[in-house]
Amino acid sequence: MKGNTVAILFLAMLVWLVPYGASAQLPPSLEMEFDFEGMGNSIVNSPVIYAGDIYDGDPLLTGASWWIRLDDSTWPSVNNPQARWDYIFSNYFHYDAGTYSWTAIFDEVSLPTKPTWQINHPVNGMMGGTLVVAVQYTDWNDNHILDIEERMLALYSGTLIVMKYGTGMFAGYCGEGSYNGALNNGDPANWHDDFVEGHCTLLLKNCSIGTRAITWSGVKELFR
Amino acid sequence: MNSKLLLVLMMVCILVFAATRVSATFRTERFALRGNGSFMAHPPIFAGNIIYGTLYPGTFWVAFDDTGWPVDDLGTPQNERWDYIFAHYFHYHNTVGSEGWDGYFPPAGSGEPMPRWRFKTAAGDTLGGSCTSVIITIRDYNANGVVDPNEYESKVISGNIVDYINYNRGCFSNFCGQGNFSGTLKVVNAQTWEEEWYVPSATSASGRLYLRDDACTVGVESSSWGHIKSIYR
Repeated sequence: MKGNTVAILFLAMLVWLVPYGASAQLPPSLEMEFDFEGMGNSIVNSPVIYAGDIYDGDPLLTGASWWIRLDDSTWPSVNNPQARWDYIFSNYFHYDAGTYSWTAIFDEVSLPTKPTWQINHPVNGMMGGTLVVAVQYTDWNDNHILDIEERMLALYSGTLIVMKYGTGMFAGYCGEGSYNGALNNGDPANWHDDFVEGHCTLLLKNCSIGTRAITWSGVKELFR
Repeated sequence: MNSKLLLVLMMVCILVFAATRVSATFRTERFALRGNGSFMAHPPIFAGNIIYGTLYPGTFWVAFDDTGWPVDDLGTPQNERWDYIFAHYFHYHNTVGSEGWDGYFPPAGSGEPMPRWRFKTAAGDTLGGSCTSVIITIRDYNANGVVDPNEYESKVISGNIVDYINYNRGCFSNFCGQGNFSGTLKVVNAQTWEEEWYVPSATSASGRLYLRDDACTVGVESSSWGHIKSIYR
């Protein structure tokens, strides 16, 4: 009886240890892809956060939640949506007549701080970093005015950096990534939320050695 | 009575016809790309195959305007061409733990020439236009402010594009629109600086084009692009 108890305890210990052993055996580099969707509203919400779910792609990430955040500390208050929209459009979007489109770049040059992002998986852990976002509206009727119906569809793309301060399975990894997708708004005249969906690729490598040290307070400051 | 009925029917037909003529047709195309190219080439062109999506099978090219880019002087240890590209298009970001360079082609708000792109399907249909923004990011893994070879060899890329009606042929000849892509740019030959332009994937096409067949504006390209077109037509 005593031998059986020891055997059961041994098996239980194995069951408890195996997941950690498996996570330790993750390859030195990972290339991951996933599809995401979510909501956000840069006009009536401050801080500007777009957030949603990863619904398809790499099994390590499917089922995770995500968010990106833009530093709007220099933008007009959300109390006056029209003034806020006018400020964003006139300060960030550049018109190019040759391509009948407006393009805006959101990065650490155009904003007080670089946009940040994070992915949280309920089981596999968290990772995050910084990103740049390029947004494009099309001047379909070529009148050099962004008409209300032209604001119903924007396209965006960008690149991102993965910091090495992830948790769980992503601890020790860092890297870079890129993404693209579409932003839909059913009623821009009344400042409705944007629906965003897209695709992302991440290139991760083991960064547990050889990179610069950072204090946890510094990391927390970025994601605050 | 019959003539009046015929007249009404004719008017109804005309109205239906007119209504169908003025309503726009929308279509969404998806694509994945894999090709090679080099910023050291003149002109710098990345070309290859459409490997998945609604435009598969087919070919593509993306060409950068290298007007003003110097040629690498083989007699010097440095690469003058890369040094120029790096200084002109890239800027460093030093957020601790997130260091890296972001390169914008063209530089944001500069008005400089945009990269150009073309797709050609195996069926003979073509699409083409400009890239309003292409972003290339290089990670500074050791945070030393210097692009090391291992950092340059693996990069990420993204871009927004517009599609002009006058570069479309076949089933796209009445369409124009916008789109985007993202993927990776990895060195495949360190000696020639040849790199792989990859927009995933072979099982799920992430590149996209949103097209419509009304209110299309004609795009204009400078005559210097004739050389590129003659090569990859």
